[in-house]
Amino acid sequence: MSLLAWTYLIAALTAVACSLAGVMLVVKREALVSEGLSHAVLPGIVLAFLVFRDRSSPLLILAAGLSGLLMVWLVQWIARTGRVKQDAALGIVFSGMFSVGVIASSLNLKNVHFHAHCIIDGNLAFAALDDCHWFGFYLGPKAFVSMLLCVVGVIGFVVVFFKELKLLAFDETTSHLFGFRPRLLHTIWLAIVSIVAVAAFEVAGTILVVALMIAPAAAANLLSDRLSWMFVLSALLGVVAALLGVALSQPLSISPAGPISSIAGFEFLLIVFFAPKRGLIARRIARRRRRRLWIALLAKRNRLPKNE
Amino acid sequence: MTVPAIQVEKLTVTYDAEPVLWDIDLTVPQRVVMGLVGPNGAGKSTLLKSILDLTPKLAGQIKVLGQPFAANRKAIGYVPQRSSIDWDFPTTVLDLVVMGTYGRLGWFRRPGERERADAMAALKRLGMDAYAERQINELSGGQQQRAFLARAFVQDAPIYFLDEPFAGVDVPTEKLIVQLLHELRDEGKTIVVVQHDLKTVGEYLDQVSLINQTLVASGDVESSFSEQLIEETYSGRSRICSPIVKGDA
Repeated sequence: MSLLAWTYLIAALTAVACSLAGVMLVVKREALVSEGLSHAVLPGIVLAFLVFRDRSSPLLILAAGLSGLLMVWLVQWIARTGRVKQDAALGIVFSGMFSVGVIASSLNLKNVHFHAHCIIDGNLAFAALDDCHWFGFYLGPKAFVSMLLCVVGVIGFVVVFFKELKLLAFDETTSHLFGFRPRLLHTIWLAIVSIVAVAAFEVAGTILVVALMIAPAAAANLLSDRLSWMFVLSALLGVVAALLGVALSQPLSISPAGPISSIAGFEFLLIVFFAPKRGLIARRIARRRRRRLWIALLAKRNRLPKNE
Repeated sequence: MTVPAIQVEKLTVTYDAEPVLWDIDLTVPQRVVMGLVGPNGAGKSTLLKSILDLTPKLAGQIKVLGQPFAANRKAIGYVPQRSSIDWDFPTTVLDLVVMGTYGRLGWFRRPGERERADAMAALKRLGMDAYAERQINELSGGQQQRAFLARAFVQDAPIYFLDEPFAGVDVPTEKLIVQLLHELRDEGKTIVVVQHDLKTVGEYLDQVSLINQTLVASGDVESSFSEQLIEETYSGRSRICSPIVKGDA
């Protein structure tokens, strides 16, 4: 397979993993968590790198996941003190953790291929260059293997725990009364989201991860009456953005991260306006129709006494 | 005598330093419609949350049908306050009602034909079957409340908690809800309602608990809903000093 074909495939897999992970964040109204996680994983990665000195070690992903969970825990802890609201707590914690990561990496890793620019932009265009072998078998580029595992993991988890996740997002109290351990489930889900964020972050950079987690899911929310559909549509919108983005990046010879994020944003804008039931235009038409109905009714009522 | 539906013993809950609920002993007998009544900030929702084990208690314990909460949590059906629901959540009315069957399905098992049929029957009972395929945001306030009641029906729990079921609901729906609650009670269920409106207490409820940090009174509406006790509940907040003094003496 050509390098470009691998790039398309990796971009599509990254989009599926992120946009599925984003669905639960959007319906649970915690979209900013994706932004937080994508930044808060940095100190974990840097620390693990300083200890193991191996950029390709899977322990880096584990450390990043733990770092993400630390963020979730710190945010909940600060919010629980009742002094600061959840969103403010998140803003404080993730920016603080990210800056610790930036300081640590700029102090210790000046001569290593590991800098802030890469973290923000990622390197999707070169993601296919790093090969992955397992007991002598060639499995494909490393980014392909890691994103494929993420996709399988997320889809597997969503399929197995679909009913429990739905209740968790919609009505946590009832989930608690039914014994579905909403807090534990939520923590596990956020751990999965952090792992996806880290894996995708390596491929695509933080901005793209956030764009792919939120934009397709938010757009899918406007189009779907069911959570299951929302997952499917979100993945589809993510894949379309990824493929078009890579295609667009070729003639422009730029990193695909920018075009992918832009297209994901553009898709969202289109859907905000044109969604059949909940789009701005559909709402406007419905409102007008209702107003006309009321006016007609009023006119009829006002005319009635005269006729009688 | 049968075991009470809910027994609250010596419940104290504090947020920060100040107690929100102080030394509450409350018994909800079976087969009644009981209202939790009190001014804003009196701790009604906190009491509800503590009974449902959603908030840490400083002291006290809760028994559900004679068992500790953890053993009998599925015996409670919950109808949340309408304002606490995300109405843009991607779910249809039927889907919402099917959620009531999740408890008996347990982990991993999916709702199937039977669960959907149960849900349709409940929607029919509430006159909502025509709306089954609507997204929950396309309903009026009263219809939304009815959809949640249908979910409670499907759950078929012996005890129901309703958090302000009449808030933002039109009059016909309010009457319908009350009629349903009475039907449920006649079928042997116990219903606990957080209520704001004092005017309808006599008409809607069998029993009432007046709450303002402490339990001012609890029992039949005739005996516990006197003008003097209402006055006591709604005047002044700091009523926990006297128990402290008594306790120290």
